[in-house]
Amino acid sequence: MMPAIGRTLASAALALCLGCGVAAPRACAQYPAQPGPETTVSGLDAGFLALFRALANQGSVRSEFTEFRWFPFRAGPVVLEGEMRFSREFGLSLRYTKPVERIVIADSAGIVLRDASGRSREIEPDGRMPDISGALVPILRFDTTELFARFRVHAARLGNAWRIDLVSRDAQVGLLVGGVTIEGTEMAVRRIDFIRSPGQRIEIRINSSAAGVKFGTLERTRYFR
Amino acid sequence: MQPLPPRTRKCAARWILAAGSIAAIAILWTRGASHRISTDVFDLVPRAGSAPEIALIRSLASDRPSRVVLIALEPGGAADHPGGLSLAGERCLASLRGSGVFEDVEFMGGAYRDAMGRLLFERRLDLLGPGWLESGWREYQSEAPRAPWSAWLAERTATRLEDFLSRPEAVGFQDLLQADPLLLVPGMADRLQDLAGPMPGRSGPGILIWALSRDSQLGTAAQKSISGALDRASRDVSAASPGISTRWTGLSRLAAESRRQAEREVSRLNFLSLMAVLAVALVCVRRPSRAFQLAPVIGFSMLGAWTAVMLAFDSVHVLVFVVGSLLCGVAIDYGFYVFLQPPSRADETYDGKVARLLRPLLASSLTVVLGFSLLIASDLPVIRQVGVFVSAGLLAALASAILWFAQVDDAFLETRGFVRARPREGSRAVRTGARAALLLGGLVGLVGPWRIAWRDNVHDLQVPSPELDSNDRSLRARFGDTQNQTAYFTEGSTPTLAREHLDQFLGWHARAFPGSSAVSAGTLLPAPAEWASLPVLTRGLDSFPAEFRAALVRHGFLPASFAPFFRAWEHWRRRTPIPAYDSLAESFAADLKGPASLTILCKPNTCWFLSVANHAPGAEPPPSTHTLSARQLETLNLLFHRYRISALRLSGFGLGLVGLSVILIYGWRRGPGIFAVPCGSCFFAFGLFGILGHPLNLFHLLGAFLGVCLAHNYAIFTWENAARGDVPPPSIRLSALCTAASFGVLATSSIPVVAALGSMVAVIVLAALAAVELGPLAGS
Repeated sequence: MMPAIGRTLASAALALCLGCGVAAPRACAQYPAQPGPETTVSGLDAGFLALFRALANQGSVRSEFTEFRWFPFRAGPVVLEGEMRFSREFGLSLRYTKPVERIVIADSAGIVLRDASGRSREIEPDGRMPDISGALVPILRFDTTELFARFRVHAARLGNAWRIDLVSRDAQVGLLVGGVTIEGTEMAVRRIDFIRSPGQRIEIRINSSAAGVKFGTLERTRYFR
Repeated sequence: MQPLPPRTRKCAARWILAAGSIAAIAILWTRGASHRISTDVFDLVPRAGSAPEIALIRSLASDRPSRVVLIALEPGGAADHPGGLSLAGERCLASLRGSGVFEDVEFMGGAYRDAMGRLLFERRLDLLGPGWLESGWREYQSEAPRAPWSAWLAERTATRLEDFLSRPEAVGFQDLLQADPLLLVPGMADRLQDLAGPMPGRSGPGILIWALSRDSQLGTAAQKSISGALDRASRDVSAASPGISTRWTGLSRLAAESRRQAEREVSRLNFLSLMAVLAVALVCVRRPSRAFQLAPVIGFSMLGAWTAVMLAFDSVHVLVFVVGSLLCGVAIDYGFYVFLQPPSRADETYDGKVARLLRPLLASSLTVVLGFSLLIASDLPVIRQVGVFVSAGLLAALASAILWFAQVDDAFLETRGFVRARPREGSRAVRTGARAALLLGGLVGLVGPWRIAWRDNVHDLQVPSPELDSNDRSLRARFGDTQNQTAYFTEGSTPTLAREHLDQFLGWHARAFPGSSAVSAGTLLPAPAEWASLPVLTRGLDSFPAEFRAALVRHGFLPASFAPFFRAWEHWRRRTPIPAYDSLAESFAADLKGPASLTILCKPNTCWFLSVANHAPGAEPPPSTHTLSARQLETLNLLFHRYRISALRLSGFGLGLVGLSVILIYGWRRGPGIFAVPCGSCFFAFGLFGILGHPLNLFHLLGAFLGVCLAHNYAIFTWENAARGDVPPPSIRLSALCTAASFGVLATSSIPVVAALGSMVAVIVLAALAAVELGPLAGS
């Protein structure tokens, strides 16, 4: 069956957007192997509450990441590298530097794909689609109220390392995105995994990150809408 | 020849009038006149001809584009009914589908795009494969590699697939790639996105529904059934979710309203016109009750006009009868000329009076009829119909005026004194004033016409309906019809020709609007040349599957995953025979559903493609592209410009004939003087409109022609009397005043062209009256 074009593009954008959540420099750690028990906001322990609060208040972020894409028809992953910028005001911007220079911008007005020559193509939101922005925003902002309203949240900890698994309460969003796993240590996100099926998976590894940054005019013009 | 005895004359006149009336009524009855009056705006333009606008607009009007109904369900206030809107949408959809009135009813916002994407995917190899092969072949030839065509193509395909996986959209397309490693559908995604249409999330709150009626919305029965179905759906919506309103638009609604208003306009104008004429007559004659003797002349004239036009045409547009109400003002002229003319001597018989008046009566009527008969050669059916209507009506008016007053005991009606009153000739002040007025009129006639601005628009033929138009515009905007887009229609007699024309148009568009893009569903079809080269290019691809598998392995893919593609490829390559290009296009067009079905139309002898460009309307495509913009189709301004020029030539020719007739009848000494009155009045009227900055259209031209013919009557009767040394007869003043009153009524019409015609004739006849009144005073 042919998937809807609009839906597939939105799905890709969602994956990309979710794939570049806020993050901190990577450190070697052993993460919990399995999802933790489902929890609620009131059920979060002090450690997770502090984590959510810290991530929600860190301001604009600039990170470097490596993305691994697994496809069911390919033996190994496709590897991409790039920079991520996130601002509550301007949205999310992903600049892929390898293998091909390309920018993806996701904001409230939709998605913009911009190639190396600066030529842009806009993909407007489709009202019939699942609420992608609604699903994306709480994760990027770590807004607990919205996050718990839209996802079933599982939390687990192993020493300094932690793991949060998100399962969308909206079946359609779940179908598009699959399960979301966020891993980190202390107050930093290290890895985000989107798993639709064993053969369809996107793994984002955060290499370095700076929080509380300010984007200048040139940077805003170049990397945002 | 001995004059007939009065009794015999009366009997003969009554019998002829009665027989003529009975025959005319019988003809109208047997021809079913009331059923052959059309309100369809497309009946105003030619049925066939060389104008591509007409062929295309008729095609659009008779097919799917004219059967669309757009519906919006909108919340009235705060959204305090979660799910209420969805429930209302479901109820509305069920109600419309259950009505039996609609062929297709869909929610807007993506379903039809999915259907189009699915169709494109299922037919990807037929639709997109030829273009993919052709571009590969061109690249292969330019590279001229050592590898054979098939192996080279396999390697190139695997390389591009690998590159694609690092693009952002690759994740979204991953479910598709196992069946489409040639990237045919992802390659078309941009174009599909541009054709995607409205985004309900952005077009305001509410639900949008698109429906396609089963029958043409131009028919009255269909209009009623559509309106009824929408009323029922609206009630169902209100019952399910109070507070949610239903708005809708469609051709049926606009056409029904146009018919209602046109019918009202016909009744109003005919009644007011008749009242205005009778009012002038009643005020100006001594025995007003006898003025009603003029009414039968108008009645017979209208009866003759209706009969002739119904005999000559299968269908007559209602606008002809609106314009035809002008006959009230013209037909009464002959009644005036016969009835108000005093006997030349006390014992003059009616036969003698008619014999005396026959030459000017025939000269005026036949030259006018001659002029109007020329309109029968016009390209526009409505002008042809007006030509027959007025010509026949005038002849009937002349004949009935002579016959009616032949059976009246006293065929003379005296006018009141003020109608006959004349300024004292020879007075210096009067002479100077008359000369100054004529000089001023001459200046206006010489200078003003240079300032004329023309405006040609088919919408001037319709009764405007601001509320419905506003509703239509706002709903269409919600469905994605914006001011910053331009739609084009590319036509061809076959799908092959239309597709070739589409490429020519897109080439022109890229040059004419650099930086903008135009997309068309027609480009989803391969170019005819690509389709033709398909057998040749696939002939050398027997080993492609094996070579592609090997190439996939080299690039890190798992070839077994692409089994769906290899099955489809084999099936595609082995099918025989390959369908003809026209069959491919026709079946693709037939498979399109919802709004996408409006983007391609293939019928016997005609096919067109819709293109949408992301810029405001601008330059029109050249004729060689066989493409017209929607704006051009909406206004037909270029076509009406051509019709206007054609009407100008006809009018000029008709005017020349009228002038020539006058000169032949009255000779070189008096003829040019007579002809100068209508000509001068006409230039004055054009000059006045030019100076006032009032834009003119085709119907001002038609009005000018009619005005010239009327003015010509006044000149003839004035000069006839002057030749006998008499003062101008009062019938000229009465005639001019009646005509001005009658056309003044038309000038108030809400139909722009009727108002144009009325105002132009009124100005010309008043100017002509002034000329015949002031001429003798200025020369005294």
